[in-house]
Amino acid sequence: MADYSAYVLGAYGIALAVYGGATLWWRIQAGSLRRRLERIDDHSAQ
Amino acid sequence: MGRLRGPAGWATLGALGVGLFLVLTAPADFQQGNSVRIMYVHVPSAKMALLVYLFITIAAIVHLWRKSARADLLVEAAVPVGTAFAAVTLATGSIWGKPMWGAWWAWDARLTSMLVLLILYVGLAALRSALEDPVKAGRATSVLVLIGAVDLPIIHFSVTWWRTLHQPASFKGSGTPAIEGALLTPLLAMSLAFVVLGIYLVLLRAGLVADRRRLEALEMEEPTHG
Amino acid sequence: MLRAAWRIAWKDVVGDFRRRATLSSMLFFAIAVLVVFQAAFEPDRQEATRLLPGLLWVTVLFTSLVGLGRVFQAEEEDGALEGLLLSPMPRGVLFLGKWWGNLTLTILVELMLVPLLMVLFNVNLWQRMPLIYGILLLGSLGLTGLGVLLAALTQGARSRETLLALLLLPLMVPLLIAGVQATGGILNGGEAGPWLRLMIIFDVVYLALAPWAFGWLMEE
Repeated sequence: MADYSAYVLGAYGIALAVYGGATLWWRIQAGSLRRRLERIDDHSAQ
Repeated sequence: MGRLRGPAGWATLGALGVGLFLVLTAPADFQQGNSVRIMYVHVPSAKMALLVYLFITIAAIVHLWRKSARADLLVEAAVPVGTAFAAVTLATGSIWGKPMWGAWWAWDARLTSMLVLLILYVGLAALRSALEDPVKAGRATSVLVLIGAVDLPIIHFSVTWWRTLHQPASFKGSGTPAIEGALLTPLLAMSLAFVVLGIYLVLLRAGLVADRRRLEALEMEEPTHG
Repeated sequence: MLRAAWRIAWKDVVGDFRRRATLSSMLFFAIAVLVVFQAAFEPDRQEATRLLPGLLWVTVLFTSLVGLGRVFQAEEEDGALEGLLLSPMPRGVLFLGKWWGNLTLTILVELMLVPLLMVLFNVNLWQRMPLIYGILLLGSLGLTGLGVLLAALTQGARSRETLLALLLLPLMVPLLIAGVQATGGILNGGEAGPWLRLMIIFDVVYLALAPWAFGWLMEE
C-alpha cells in the first residue's frame, strides 16, 4: 500500500498556516487597535 | 464577550491538542492508508464553513429584523472566519483527492457548492468594504447573506442532479468515505476542537471589529486624534 | 400600485432608447462575445450545434452584466432615487418597476441574439425557435430578478461593476446549468422537463424574496 504521508503533511501544513496565520494576524490587529484606543482614552483623561 | 475570549483560546489549544493526539494514534485505514488522516482536518473544516454560514444567516436575519447593530457586528466578525474554514476545506479536499481520485479536482456537488461558498464569503467582505456608509454596508451585506443562504441549497441540488443525469459519476462516494469505529473518535474530537476554534476566532474578531468601530466613531468626533 | 411599477419600467425603457442606449451596448457586447468565441474555438458545424446551448447562455449571462450595471444609473446621476424613496410608494413596487425595465431590455436583446447566433455559427434551428425563446424567457425572469437586486446592493459601491460580476456569476450557477441543459435537451432530443422545473423553482424563490429584500435594503 502506498504511503500517503507527504499528502497528509501537506494538508495539515496548509491548515496550520491558514488557521494559525489568521489567528496571529487578527491578534496583532486587535492588539494595535486596543493600544490606539487606550492612547485616546489617556489623552481625554488628562 | 471579551471575558470569554481568554478561556476560549485555552480551550481551543487544549481541544486541538487532544484531537491531534487521537489523530496521530488512530490506526491507518486498510484501504486508504494514512491519507484518511486528511479527513480529520477536512471534514471538520467543511462542517465549520457551513456552520459559520448558518450562524451568519441567523445574525443577518436578526440584524435586518431588529436593526441590531450587535448582530451586524457578528456578521462582520464571522465572515473572514468562514472564509478561512472554506479555504482549508477546499485545499485539504483537493490534497485528499489527488491520491484517492487521481485528480486534484472534481466538479461534484460538494466541491462546487464549497467553491461557491468561498466566493460568497469573499464577496460578502468585498461588498462591505466597497460601500462608504457603514449602515448601508451592513444592510447590503445582510441581504446578500440571505440571498446566499437561499442559493447554496439550490446549487447543491442542481449540481447533484446535473452529475447524476448528465454523466455517470467517475468516482464513487465522491465526498467522505464511511468512517466508523476507531476512526470515528478522532473525527469527533477534531470536530469539537474546530467548533471551539470557530467560537474563539469569532470572539477574537468581534472584539477587533467593536474596537475598530469605536475608534472610527471617536475619529469622526475629534479628527485631531486620527 | 402595479400601475406605478409599469410607469417606472416604461420611463426606464423609453429613457434608455432616448438617451442611454443600454440596449445597443448590450447587443454589441453580445456580438463581441460571439466573435471572441468564434475566434477562440473555431467550431465546425457539428461542434457549433453541440456548443450552442452553452454559448447562448454564457453570452446572455455576460450581456446581462452590461444592462444591470446601469439599472440605477439614471437615478444616481440626478439624485432621483431619494425622490422615489420619499414617495409613499412601497419599496417592492419600485423594485418591480426596475425589474420590468431591465427584463424588457434583456428580452429585446435575446430576441435579436438567437437569430444572430444561428447565422454567425451557421446552425439551422428555425423550427425550434419558439421553444428556445420560452426557455430564455424563463431564465431571464430569475436572472434579471436576482440581478436587479444585486445591482441595488452594489449601488454606490466602489468599483461597482466588478463587484456585481463577482456576486452575480457564482449565484447564477444553478440557472446556468438548468438553462444549458434544457436548451441542449430541446436541440439534441434529450430531456428538458426536470431542468425547466429547476428554473421555475429558481425564478419563484428569487422573485418572492427580491421585493422584500429590496425593501429591507432601502429602509430608512
